[in-house]
Amino acid sequence: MSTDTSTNIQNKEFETESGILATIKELRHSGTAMGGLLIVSLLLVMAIVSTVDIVLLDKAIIKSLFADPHEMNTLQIYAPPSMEHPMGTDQYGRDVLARIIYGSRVALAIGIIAVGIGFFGGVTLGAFSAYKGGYVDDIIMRALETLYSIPGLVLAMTMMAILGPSIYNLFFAYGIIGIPAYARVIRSEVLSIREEEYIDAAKAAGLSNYKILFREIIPNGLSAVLVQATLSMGSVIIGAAALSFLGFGVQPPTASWGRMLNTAQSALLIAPWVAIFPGLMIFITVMGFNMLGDGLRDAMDPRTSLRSPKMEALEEYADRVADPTKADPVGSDDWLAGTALSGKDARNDATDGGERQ
Amino acid sequence: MSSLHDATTGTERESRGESPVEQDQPLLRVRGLKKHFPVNTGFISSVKLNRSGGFPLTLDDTKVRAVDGVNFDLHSGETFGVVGESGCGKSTLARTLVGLEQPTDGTIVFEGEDISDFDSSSLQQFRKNAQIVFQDPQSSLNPRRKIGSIIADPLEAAGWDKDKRRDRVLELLEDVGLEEDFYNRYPHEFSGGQRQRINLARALSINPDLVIADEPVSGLDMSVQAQILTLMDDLQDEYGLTYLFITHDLSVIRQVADRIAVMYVGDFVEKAPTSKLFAEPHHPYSRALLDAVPNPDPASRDLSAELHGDVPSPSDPPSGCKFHTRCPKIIPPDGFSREEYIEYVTFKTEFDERSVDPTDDPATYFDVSLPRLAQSTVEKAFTLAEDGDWDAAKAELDTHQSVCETAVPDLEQVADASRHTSACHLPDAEREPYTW
Repeated sequence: MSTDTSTNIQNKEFETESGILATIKELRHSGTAMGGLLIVSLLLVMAIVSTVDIVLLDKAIIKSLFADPHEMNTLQIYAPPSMEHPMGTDQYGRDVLARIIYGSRVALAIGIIAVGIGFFGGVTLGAFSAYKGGYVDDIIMRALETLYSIPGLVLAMTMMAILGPSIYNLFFAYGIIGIPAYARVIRSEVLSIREEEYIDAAKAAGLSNYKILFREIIPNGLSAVLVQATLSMGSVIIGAAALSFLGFGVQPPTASWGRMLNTAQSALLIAPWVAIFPGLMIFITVMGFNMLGDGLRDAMDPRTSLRSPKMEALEEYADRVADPTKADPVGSDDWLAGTALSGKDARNDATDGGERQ
Repeated sequence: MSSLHDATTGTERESRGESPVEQDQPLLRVRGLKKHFPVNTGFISSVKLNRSGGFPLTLDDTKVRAVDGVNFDLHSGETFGVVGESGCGKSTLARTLVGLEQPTDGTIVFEGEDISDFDSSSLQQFRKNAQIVFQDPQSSLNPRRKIGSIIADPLEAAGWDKDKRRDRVLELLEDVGLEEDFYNRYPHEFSGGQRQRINLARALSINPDLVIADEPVSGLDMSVQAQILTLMDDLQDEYGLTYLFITHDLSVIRQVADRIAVMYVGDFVEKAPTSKLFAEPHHPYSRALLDAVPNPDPASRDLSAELHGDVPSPSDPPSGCKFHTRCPKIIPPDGFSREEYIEYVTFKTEFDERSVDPTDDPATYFDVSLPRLAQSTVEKAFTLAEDGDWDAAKAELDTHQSVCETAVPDLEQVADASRHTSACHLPDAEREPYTW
């Protein structure tokens, strides 16, 4: 019998689509997720182009398009938006648009790297701690809570003072600061997930703790943390600006949105554009990541479909036309029976209600 | 290997009975298995204020005795059923047997090898030979994984390579009555019955000798229950499986089991071949359970559930025979009739919970009048309790005790039926023949 089956299989395509590919395919059915993806990709393009520009081309691209983001012009201090400077100029007469484009490098790097460190560190520690329980849980969580109790800025400054004021240490410091928040969120999720029967089933099957943790538990608790990660993107960008302002991290004249926002405060009344545009960019960035994150969360959950019901029906119809011999989808009869039954039930309920009245 | 699992050899072996000197080795031998859970976890939470004087702090080491000394042998090819009310420790027994819980005491011998310590290498070996099917078809499958890979979990743990795993899973899907196409689907796309088939496929994937089924059909509706039970039966023949089948549903156990153990608050009170248990239940608890099965005959309207009161707490089980607090056949001590003594025991239980007001007239707590001797005891106890000395009052009430309260009955052979054992003090002469 086994040989029969195995020859049978060779003809069929049973290879599982890799999880990431399936997720991205699913993502294209959601408008907001695609919007988020568009924003994030535009930012990425901006960041990559400006990095190439500054490292290899000596600002040739930005100069030909707009202006040198580092060039000061004392005659043009706080110039309002015009054709020459679409977003106006700052207190040294530098072009705000050029600086915003250059600032995307720092903003994205800090957003992605710092949030990434916090996310992976927090998820791993929190999930491990909740899964192990007992003393391990106590030790890890108390240590993280100690970290949490120190104000983020103070902790970051201390770390920067120890590690030295470089931009890479800034990423690292902000990553570490983020860990406790993620750890706490995932821990509470894992505490309930580890009581599920499928965890016992995995244990009884003999899977290793590592596999149970990363394949059974974490994927089921990830959605809450994913939202947290996209939301904290903005606060990290602004927080990094505060550190830069205090002399750690991003050093002038490197353009950074947070820093621009910070220095613009003193001239908010006479030159609001210097603050508005970097603020708007931070807002758009956070929104882009948030929309993408929301879409990702839904796409990763096999129980929710991002497809609209109409599209699904169309695709199913197309499938059937293409291959009329194909078997019905799982339990399609049950589905029908279920809907018919529920319809009847609803009617019964209605009549019952009527009678009672 | 397959001859070992042959169903006929299993029955032959069984018919020789569970004599202390077993010629044949049982597949699974469990002796004195205990699993206790501490009520308080950790040292700090177990320190309690001591209000009764003396040192102000005490260590509260109360334990829930979920499984409290269970013995049984499981022979190759048979289906051994365990029935009991909710909370009697059935599921803990199952979980302890597959190593999900570390036993507190006792030995588990599987194919001649002692595995009660469950160190990692013997556990790994044991996993290949024993698998579990869980109760809840909804929560026993990870919603984010495809069923193909879920079913292959035990194979993956045993180190099979990917292609072999896939071939085996496809074969299994067919065996449990599902389609090969389902390989790449997610659990939420299946009905409860299909999910339980997937659970069965997962348990069978590694080709185990022993499958422990913890209420495998109680989450399903009647028609699907029948399908799953038939499937389990077919699979038993095909794979030569031994089942330990745990359920609270007597009609299910009657259909599947060769032998049945009745469990009450962590103990087996009766063990018998299925036909024997349903025809001549020996223990009053087994009889009460059978009486509680709804009678489908519309002519007989009266529901004769004899069992009153709640299952006693497993953290503080009753002394002697654990069933004595609810037993309709309790052996009365001298001077009491059975009816009076049942009344007296119920009162004692209430008194222990301090749900008795000592300023009341004692007579209001009794429907029948007690013997004169007992009446004076109760009055004395009330006066003591009124003075606040509940412990002395309790001791006073304990002057009348049945043998059921003082001595733990052993599982003893019932009359001449060699494989029918029951733990009850009641002499056979006083046992009425059982009728449905």
